[in-house]
Amino acid sequence: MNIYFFYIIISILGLSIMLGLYRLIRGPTAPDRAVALDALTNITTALLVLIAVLSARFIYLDVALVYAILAFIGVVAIARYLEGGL
Amino acid sequence: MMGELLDYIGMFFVLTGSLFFLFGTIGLVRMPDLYNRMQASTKTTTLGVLSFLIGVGFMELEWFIKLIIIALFVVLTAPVGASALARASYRHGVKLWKKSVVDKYGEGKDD
Amino acid sequence: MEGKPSFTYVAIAMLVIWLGLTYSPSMPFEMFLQEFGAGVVVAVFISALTSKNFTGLGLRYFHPRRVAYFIAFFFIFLKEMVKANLNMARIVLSPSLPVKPGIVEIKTGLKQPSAKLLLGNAITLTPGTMTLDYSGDRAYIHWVEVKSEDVDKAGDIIKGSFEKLLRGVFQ
Repeated sequence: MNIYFFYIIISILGLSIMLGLYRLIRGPTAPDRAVALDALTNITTALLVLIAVLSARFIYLDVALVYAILAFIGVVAIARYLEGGL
Repeated sequence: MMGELLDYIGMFFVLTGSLFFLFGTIGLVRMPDLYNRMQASTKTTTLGVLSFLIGVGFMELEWFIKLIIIALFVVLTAPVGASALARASYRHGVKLWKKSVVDKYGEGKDD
Repeated sequence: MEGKPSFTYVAIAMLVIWLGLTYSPSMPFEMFLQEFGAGVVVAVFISALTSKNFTGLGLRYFHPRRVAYFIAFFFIFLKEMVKANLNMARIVLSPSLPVKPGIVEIKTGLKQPSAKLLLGNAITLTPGTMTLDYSGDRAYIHWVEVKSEDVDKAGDIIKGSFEKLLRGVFQ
């Protein structure tokens, strides 16, 4: 695996996370922040898989899977809260 | 030889996935209101995860099944979460952008 | 809701999911047997508790015609998803931001909740549209570039061939 390729990928993902964090901090309303968080969790799932590849550990994929499940539950919980049903 | 070819295919998919992440977050910053932001970020990051995981699967062929399970899970749940969040924020009182042309959802139920 | 939920189907589905999650490459055969045994115990336990909460779809949904429709649906869905993303990338990167958003209402002829869920997911991930809410046979869709405000015309544009394919799967 070419290490420079990983530098490129990590800089693109880092730039995306910066932009997502901008919206997370700036976002005028609470739902805006929730949307930014939703996008950031997807990027984090990809980053966890990238870490699994870099350290060559199959078991780290389970971390990404559990993170994806918890992120989904979190988004639905935030939605229920905003709707006033929680 | 074969392994190298698969590596290049995997790198292509991984690069495509991360570029879609970048487009999604650019949309998140540039779009004028919540619903448009949600459209931009949900669609692009979902395809981004799918493409990224498939690319990693081409690099490490033994991991393919597990990666497909994670990707399927994300593709199935991301639109459900987005719909729930969109409806919740509409009921929470987030207004549409002032240049929106039509709002059939609000016409049906006046509080 | 149709058909009654079946303990056996739920248990088999749980077992398959369990094996998919605990599978690892270079796993010795004895370890696979252990995982399989533990999976049987867990699957029977979970489905004894929860099988009444699942909709029973039954074996007739594995008819070859339905499976063929589903595979066609899946590939058209993937193609539309790539198209949607290129479209979104074009909108996001163009300096003038060509959006004309609005919420339109469309009608669907699908009855089953699972068919509606698949249609809603497909609409959310295809070009410029996002499902907001269902009420009865009406769906409310947020659209980035509104092309038509009419219920039927907007429905034709938004649903594309998905509804036809899903009707093939579920009826």
